[in-house]
Amino acid sequence: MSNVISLDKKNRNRIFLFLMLVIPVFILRFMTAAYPILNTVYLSLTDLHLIDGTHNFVGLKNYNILLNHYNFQNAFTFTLFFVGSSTVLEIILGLLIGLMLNASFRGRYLARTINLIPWAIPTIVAAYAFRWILDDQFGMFSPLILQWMGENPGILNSAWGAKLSTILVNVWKNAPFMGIIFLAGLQGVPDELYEAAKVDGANVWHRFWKITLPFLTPLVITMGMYLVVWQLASFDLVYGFTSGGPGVATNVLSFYIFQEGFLFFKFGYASAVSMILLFIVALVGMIGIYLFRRYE
Amino acid sequence: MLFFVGSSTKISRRKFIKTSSSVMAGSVLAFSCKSAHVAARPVVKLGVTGYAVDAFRKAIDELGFTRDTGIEVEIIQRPNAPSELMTQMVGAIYAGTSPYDVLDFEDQIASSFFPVGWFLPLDDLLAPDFWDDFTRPMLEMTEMWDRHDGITYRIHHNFEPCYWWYRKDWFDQKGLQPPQTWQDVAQLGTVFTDRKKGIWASEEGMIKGGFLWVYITWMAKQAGGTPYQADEKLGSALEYIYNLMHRDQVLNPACLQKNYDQQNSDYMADRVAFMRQWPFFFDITRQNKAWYSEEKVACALPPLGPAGKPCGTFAAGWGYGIPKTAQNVEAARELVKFLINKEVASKMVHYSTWFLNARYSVLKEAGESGSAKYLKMYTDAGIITSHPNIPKFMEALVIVENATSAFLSDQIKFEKALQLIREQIALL
Repeated sequence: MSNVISLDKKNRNRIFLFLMLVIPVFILRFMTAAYPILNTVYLSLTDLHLIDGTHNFVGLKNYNILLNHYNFQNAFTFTLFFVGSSTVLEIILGLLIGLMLNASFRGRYLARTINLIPWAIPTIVAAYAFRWILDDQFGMFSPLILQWMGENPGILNSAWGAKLSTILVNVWKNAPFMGIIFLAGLQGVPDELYEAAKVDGANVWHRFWKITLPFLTPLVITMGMYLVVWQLASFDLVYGFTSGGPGVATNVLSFYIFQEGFLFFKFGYASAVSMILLFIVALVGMIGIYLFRRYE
Repeated sequence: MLFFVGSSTKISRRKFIKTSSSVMAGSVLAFSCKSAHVAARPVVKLGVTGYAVDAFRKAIDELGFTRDTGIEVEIIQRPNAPSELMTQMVGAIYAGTSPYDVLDFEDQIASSFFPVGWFLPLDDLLAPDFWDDFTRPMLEMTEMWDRHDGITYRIHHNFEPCYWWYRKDWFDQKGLQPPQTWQDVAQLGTVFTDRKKGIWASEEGMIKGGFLWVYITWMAKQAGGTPYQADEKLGSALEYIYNLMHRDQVLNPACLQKNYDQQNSDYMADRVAFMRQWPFFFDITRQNKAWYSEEKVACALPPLGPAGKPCGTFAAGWGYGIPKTAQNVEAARELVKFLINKEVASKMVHYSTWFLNARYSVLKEAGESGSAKYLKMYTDAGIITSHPNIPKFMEALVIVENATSAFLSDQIKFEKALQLIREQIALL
């Protein structure tokens, strides 16, 4: 009997300790993650407008409006294109930078430091700087373009010029960071494997495909997923660089949400757009976890 | 019983209680005095934009508001961007408070906040002859932007028409007079534009975010329309701008992604023959001492569109209002009464062009100084009109900019641009 009592007491203590440790974290995550998401789901089903003062349940009306809205369709399409192409380019360039920085050469530590400069520049600063760099009159490339084409058409003036410029500026900013991440991954690949492959007659290309890439695949998947999620929320680059223009050519979902929510105060509609973004992030997350488990 | 403090000092309990009581009593007394002092001199919080802080401080100090009323004025720098101010104010008003008792703000805020009753009426502060001091364009602007359902919520102190600036030296060199009509402007591409040298007859700041809206409004007004009504008048303005850009070689197409800094820099780098710009360009050019001369920055009446003289240009402006959740309403009302008073308003123009407007008293006091001569020239010519108001102004602005920017950069057809404006404005 005394054994049972002492066991219960022990269990009670363990449960108490468990609750003491878990409850604060649970409350924190509930207040900062679960509640905002649940509230956004609810708001997306209302017509909450802070200036109009409306706050009625409207069901799926916001989703119906946004799916047929010209600006949303453009923002959705460009967001996928922007995030997809940026991620692919950043991973490829990041791998190349990582391989280069992993090579043994004089001044490589300095090169590694210099490499990180674009990443260290705040995005909004880079956005404004590039607006001037691509200016048709005073831009860094203007004299070259003028000499080459005989006139300067203004890169940011065309829809495709602005779209590609936005992607390239984004890649310029983020690829160096990927380079450092991949450098860390490359330093974990055992040298013995390369030496054995060399003895077996494998050339550089084979060594990369058969040793380096398989070792880095989990990292590529993790970082790819991270880049996608991170860049889906990218706002400051578009805000400072093109303001979503010309037209709505470079409008992204996060910028669209900002406009609808914080310029027009249409919180219901902005929440519906946020839910679409959340759905994309969740989908990417699930695909990423599946791929990670498969290639781990 | 003794209390030991440190190793060598010791005090009795009686002495400790006496000392503590004295300190506490002193503190309470000092706090009471301070409170009494604060109560005697109420503080009113005035929110103004960054570049106007010094001018406001100096004017209010020297014109004796605190001396006359006993009310202290705390000048607070508000967010410069209207979108940020709106975000700040919406949150504050929902919380039943306000960072400012009096706010100096632009038209965008007015159109959003007046219809929902977030500012207090000001009519009872005005003297019976108050409006007699206002010129026709100022009255028109007041009616359009400061009143809702006949109640006045804001009083303008700043009234800025878009001016037409040109290189008189270049025009003189070519033996030309400033263009009088849209047709005249269209001819100037062949005269001034040299694409190989990056020189254009004209430029604008047309990046989205309010810049493009200004130009579209300017042209739509000259055509006799508004940017929100997708009719043949707005259509003719859009076609005209498109042709200036893509056919007549007058307007640099790269302007679609330029802001005012870029536009002004191009002008001061001798790449632009003429352009529309706000009055601040007057000061900017004069600060560039190495480049400036009067012939380089002449101001003339703008070329007229189909709507003729009454719609030659439009003015926008800033004014004072009191948020309904202001914490010190009575002091705020005193301050507004002081600032809009004819004598004070006219003296304030000497502190900054920020206080320049088209009130008779202000124009008289300003005389020919600074850009006041241009304001007088435009007012006398009777070409200033107000820009059109619309409920949910910010949304309408974005709709107009998205559609027109897409059309002017060849992403959508003319009809599609008008259709988008028509459909989306109808949904507001």
